[in-house]
Amino acid sequence: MKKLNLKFFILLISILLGTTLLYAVDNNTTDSNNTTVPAVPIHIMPLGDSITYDFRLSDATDPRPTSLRTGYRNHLWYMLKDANYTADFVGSRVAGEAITPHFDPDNEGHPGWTAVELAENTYGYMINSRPDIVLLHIGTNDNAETPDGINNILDQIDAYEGASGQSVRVFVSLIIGGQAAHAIKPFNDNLEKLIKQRIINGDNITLVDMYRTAGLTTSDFIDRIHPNDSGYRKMAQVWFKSLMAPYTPALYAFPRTLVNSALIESLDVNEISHSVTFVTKIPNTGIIFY
Amino acid sequence: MIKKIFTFTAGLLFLVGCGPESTPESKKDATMIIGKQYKMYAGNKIIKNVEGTHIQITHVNGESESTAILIDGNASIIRKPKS
Repeated sequence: MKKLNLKFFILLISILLGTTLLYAVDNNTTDSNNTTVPAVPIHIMPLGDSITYDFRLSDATDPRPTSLRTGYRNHLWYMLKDANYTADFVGSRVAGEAITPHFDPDNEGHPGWTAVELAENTYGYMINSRPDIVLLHIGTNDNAETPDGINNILDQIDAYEGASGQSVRVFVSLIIGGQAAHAIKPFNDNLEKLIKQRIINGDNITLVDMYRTAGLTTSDFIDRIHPNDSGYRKMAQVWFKSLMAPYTPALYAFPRTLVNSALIESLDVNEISHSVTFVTKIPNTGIIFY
Repeated sequence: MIKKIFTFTAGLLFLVGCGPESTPESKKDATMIIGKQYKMYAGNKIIKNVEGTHIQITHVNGESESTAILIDGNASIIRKPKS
């Protein structure tokens, strides 16, 4: 009986120790909303143009110090910090370092650039900063209806992933409208189609609907293109919600385990019910379930 | 009395055993009807009977079966052969 008790005691201690060790090596924690948040810094690259860097039209003639320019980045940083999400913003540019409360001012925002121009440099940015996550808002300067430049950017990120073996999750935003919201609708419609097709093909992309869900009004803009601080706060809220939303890669991958992605015509993932629904043509060989 | 009960039970079992087999729909081959949901299990197959046939498939992560709905065209379900 004594031996049995001793064995039981040793077993109990082993279980407790094992649980403690498992907890110690787990890189994620769970916040009060039961959302898993990373405990190790996640390298996030804010990538885009003036709306990422924070440049307004008046800066062309009466420039503000770059150390005071924040865009949506400081608000997003504060939201992430409040959620115990450990982020490290990365990029070759620095803007907003004099702001208090302090936030990470690193970014890859390039005022005035088109998506095509950004694509020409994206691979290098990836190599230098090695982001885990990219927040992409670009296209305002394109004056185009087709998002070819964004397609090129995503191709460059794919090329980096292939060469480095690193996986990058890209959050691609539909662009905000400013006073020309109606004019960018065709661009956003085409961008949405592009992103959905790339997701079907297996890209690790999340579409962020900044265009319809940020709720920006004319009072949220400092000029005809650029948000003011309240507008940037609204943008940060949309980025934050997207970053914190549950994400199950297996659901996105499931259709391609049954049919070639070229046959899939639509794909809808419901993270709440953990389900994926897709419409596909049936291949000549049929569809075999497993 | 016990002998009678035994004989009756054996007879009943014999009759049940020889009765018509009732195969659940989930184990039958079928020509799909547009809009109807079909449970698909491991080894089941959907083949098209005409070109350009579309189906909608829903899968819940972690579950062993999926649901298929014929959207248009013509398709058949071939269930896994009995092993």
